[in-house]
Amino acid sequence: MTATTLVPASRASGTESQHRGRRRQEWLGYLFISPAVVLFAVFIGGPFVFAIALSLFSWDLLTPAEFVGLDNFVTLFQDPVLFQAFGNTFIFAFASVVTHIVGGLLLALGVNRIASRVVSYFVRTAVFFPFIISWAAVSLLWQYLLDPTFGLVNHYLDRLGIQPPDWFLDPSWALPAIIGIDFWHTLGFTFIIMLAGLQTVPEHLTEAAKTDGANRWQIFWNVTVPMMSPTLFFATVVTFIGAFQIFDPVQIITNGGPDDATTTLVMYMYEQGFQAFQIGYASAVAIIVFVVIMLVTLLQFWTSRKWVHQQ
Amino acid sequence: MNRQNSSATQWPFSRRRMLQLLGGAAALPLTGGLTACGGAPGAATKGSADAGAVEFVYLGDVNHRKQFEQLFAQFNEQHPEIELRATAKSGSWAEFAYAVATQIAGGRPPDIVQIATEGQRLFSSKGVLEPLDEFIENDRSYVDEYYDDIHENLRLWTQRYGSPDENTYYIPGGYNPIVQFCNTELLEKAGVDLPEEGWSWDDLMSAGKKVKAQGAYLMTVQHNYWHDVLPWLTNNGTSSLDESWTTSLMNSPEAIEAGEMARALVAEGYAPEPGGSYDPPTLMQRGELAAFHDGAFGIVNVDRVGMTDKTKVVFFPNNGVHGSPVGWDAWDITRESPNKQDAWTFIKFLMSVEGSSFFAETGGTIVPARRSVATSDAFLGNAPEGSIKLVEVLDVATPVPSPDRGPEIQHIVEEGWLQVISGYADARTQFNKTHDKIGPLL
Repeated sequence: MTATTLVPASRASGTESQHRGRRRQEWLGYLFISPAVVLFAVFIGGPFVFAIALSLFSWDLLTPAEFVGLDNFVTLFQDPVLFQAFGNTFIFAFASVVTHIVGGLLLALGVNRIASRVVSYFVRTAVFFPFIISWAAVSLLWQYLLDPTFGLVNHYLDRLGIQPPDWFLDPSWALPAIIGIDFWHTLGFTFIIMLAGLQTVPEHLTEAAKTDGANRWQIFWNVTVPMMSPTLFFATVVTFIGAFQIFDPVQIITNGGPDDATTTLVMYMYEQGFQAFQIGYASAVAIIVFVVIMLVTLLQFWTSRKWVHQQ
Repeated sequence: MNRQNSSATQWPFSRRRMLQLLGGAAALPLTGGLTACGGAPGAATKGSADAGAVEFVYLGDVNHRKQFEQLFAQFNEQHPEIELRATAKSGSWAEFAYAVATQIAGGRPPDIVQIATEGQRLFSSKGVLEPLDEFIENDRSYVDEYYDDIHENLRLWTQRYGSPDENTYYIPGGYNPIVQFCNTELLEKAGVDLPEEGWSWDDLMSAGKKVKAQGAYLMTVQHNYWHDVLPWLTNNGTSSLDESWTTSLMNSPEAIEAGEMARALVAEGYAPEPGGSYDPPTLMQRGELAAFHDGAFGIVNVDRVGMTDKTKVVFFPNNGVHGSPVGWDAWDITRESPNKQDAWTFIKFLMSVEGSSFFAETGGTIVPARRSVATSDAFLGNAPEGSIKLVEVLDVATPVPSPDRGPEIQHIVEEGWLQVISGYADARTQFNKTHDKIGPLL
């Protein structure tokens, strides 16, 4: 009898102790993540909520804000410059994703085959190096290089008998020029990710494919690409998000011109907020940028179920 | 073991409470911002302004700061009882205006803001500035002496464009027009005459041809609103907007003619292709450029490349009508300033001969407001021959059109002008488009 009463008591005591232990651990977890959560709340979460609220106001910073409901969004969908900015941004983001993924993967495949470690290190550093230079410096550098009168690129194209285009003046060349500069600047990042992904492809699978008589293309397409698909997926998502927020080079080099040919969404948001003092409208543009990025990212995650190989 | 021991420790907050606190932290920027945006202008500043120290905000970078500190030291020698705190904000005028507006919205308005033409109407029309009429009346003779020594136009323009009502919100300061800095050595070598009053547009093409024969460019053609577009327009009797800044003039025959003239210089190879990133004074120093146009900053630039003795300043090329865009600084006191009287004392110091001389003597980038200082050796002593034109051109200058949505209009005009001078659009078609885009912003 005593024993039967003691056992449940002991069990109860043990369960409570375990429960306390779990709670303590839980709180320790909260404690450890709290700096990050507080920073996120103050610098990202809070401003995000604030931006949503602001998008419902008309506010010029100097006079009281006026609640306008969804007026900013209505205006937004009738704004021709915004549509052009949308188009430019999508073209830029699409071109950026394609060129970075293809270029980064090809470069990684090439570098992965270099036998000499010294040469391999040199190429890796050389390709990655532009990525550590600030956008401001890169923009100024390319402005000098592509100067229509004094630029080195035009000078050598001229000597080769090629009539160089007006890189930043011709509306049909300005956006491709910015895409090219972005490719040069940020390819190193995608390349490093691809190289890391490539080195995770199990060697025994490629060896097995070789034994089965697969040629190089078959090995690449049926072994390397599927095994690298999580890396490709990650690179695609990250490149799109970064490209969709492109701002620095267009602001510094073309200021959105010529004839709005390089105006992007974030640049338009900057112009509306920081130059036109239309804080509410700029916030509405920011919300649209967020929604588009979120939708495209969700779409990428949804389609990833069909092509990303999960080990 | 330790885990078990510490499991007895009671946490002061429940998980729910903790999340509430984190949520509160997230809401901080929201509530702070809404306080500012929901209240009357400056309402959030009640009791928060720093009574005692006078805060003066001006457009300037680190280089300017050192010079300004000398000015502030001079002021403090005269008024040790006033603590002056100066804040330099760098960037364009639009960025400066935004930074100041953010500061005001954030509930910490400065006492004095040095505002350029581009922002004067915007700030005075929003009710954030204190009318200065009472201060002026109390120091009438002092202010009159200052007004007598500055160009009449400066006072009239400041009143006309900077005061949406009958009140006076600004005291005008130094100004900047556009003139042309010419390489006399290169022009002499090319056999080009340089009239005292500058070239006419008729002279320009023949001068360009002779300079090109020397393997150099005559001048630069770019698309900066104040620096490059308006000089062409004002020297053909027009501007981007009319005098009241309510109607676009970009499709006027004069504007179209100006665009065509600027394009012709590029097309003939008398000016480098626009959109480049070259430094005109350096090109001039290398003998590759006969002239560049600039404001008072041109004096600093020719000095930088050691060309002061070989440079002559003339008016910008004209088509029978002399002109120039002009922008100027102005000083004001914010409505919420708790130190208005001290702020006024500092503004009076800036108006003084001593204050005005400072802008002349420290290699400043602006023409001093006082004519007596601008025409003295303090300003012209080490300047190229003919620099007095920077003062004289004020007689025929046109204020930089700066309506409330000026930065957007400026961007549209610059884009349209760039299309024309680079040959991607003809002036008539492009400027009609520019005109149509500007209309809704006015």
